[in-house]
Amino acid sequence: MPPDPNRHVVSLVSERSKSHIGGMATTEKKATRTRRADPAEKAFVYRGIKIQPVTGRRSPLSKALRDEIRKLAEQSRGEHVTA
Amino acid sequence: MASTSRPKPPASKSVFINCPFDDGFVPILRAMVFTILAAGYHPRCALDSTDGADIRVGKIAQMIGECDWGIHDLSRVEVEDGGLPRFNMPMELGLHLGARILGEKRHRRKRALILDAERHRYDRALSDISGQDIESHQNSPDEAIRCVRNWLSEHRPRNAEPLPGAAALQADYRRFQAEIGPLLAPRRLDPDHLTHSDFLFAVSDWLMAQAAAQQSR
Repeated sequence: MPPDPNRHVVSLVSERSKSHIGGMATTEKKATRTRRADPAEKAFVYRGIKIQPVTGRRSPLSKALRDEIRKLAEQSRGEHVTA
Repeated sequence: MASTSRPKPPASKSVFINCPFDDGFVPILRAMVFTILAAGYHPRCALDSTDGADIRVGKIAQMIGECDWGIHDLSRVEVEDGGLPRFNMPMELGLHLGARILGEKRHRRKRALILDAERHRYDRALSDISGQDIESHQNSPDEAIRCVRNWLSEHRPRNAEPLPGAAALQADYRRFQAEIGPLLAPRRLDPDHLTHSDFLFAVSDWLMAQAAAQQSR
């Protein structure tokens, strides 16, 4: 017996609408992703002057340097505190 | 180098740098860039988008339009082997002054610092620029820091925080160089050969790290 062509269409429509309605009807709080700014992109104060950091696309070298500069500063801060 | 999608800073905080980009001038350019960033301004130059490869006058003019501040270094305007000097720097200075004189109202805020290697050399070559802020850096990065810092300081709004002194900025720049060099050495790189973009990020990151250290003391 040949399959009813309408049956397939009907089932597709119902699947779609089910997921759509399901999402709308739920009382669960939607998990929203808050986008936190990278600390490297926040303004800071150096010698009393507010400085907006450089923004834009970083090269891999620049990313690596940023991490090393931070590490170096933390190390010297540690030495300063323990001294 | 591909163009970087850097959001444009406000004109009141943007400093256009018109200077040569050859290796011999890198120490002066880097010292000026460091000073501008440490003073809370944003350096803009032809290297921002292309690292100097293919910059057109239209793009330069647009950049000048987007900056209230402009530094024009004429120290390398000298007669070269072909018997002609490089006219790019005086032409860009002309664009800047033209925008201020003939442009819309907002361009009247524009300030220009004209730098040369020797004092009063311009008297012989470009006497029409008399009356502008003209300083000599004597091909010394320390002097370039002093000239740029003093000029920015002189034209700051009255209610703005005073800038650190030239000696403090010179010392900071030396510390930056001393600390960044060893980070690059294992990669067989030296600070003078960082791309312009990498240098901007390195200065910004270093200043931020110093700021954090100051806060924790």
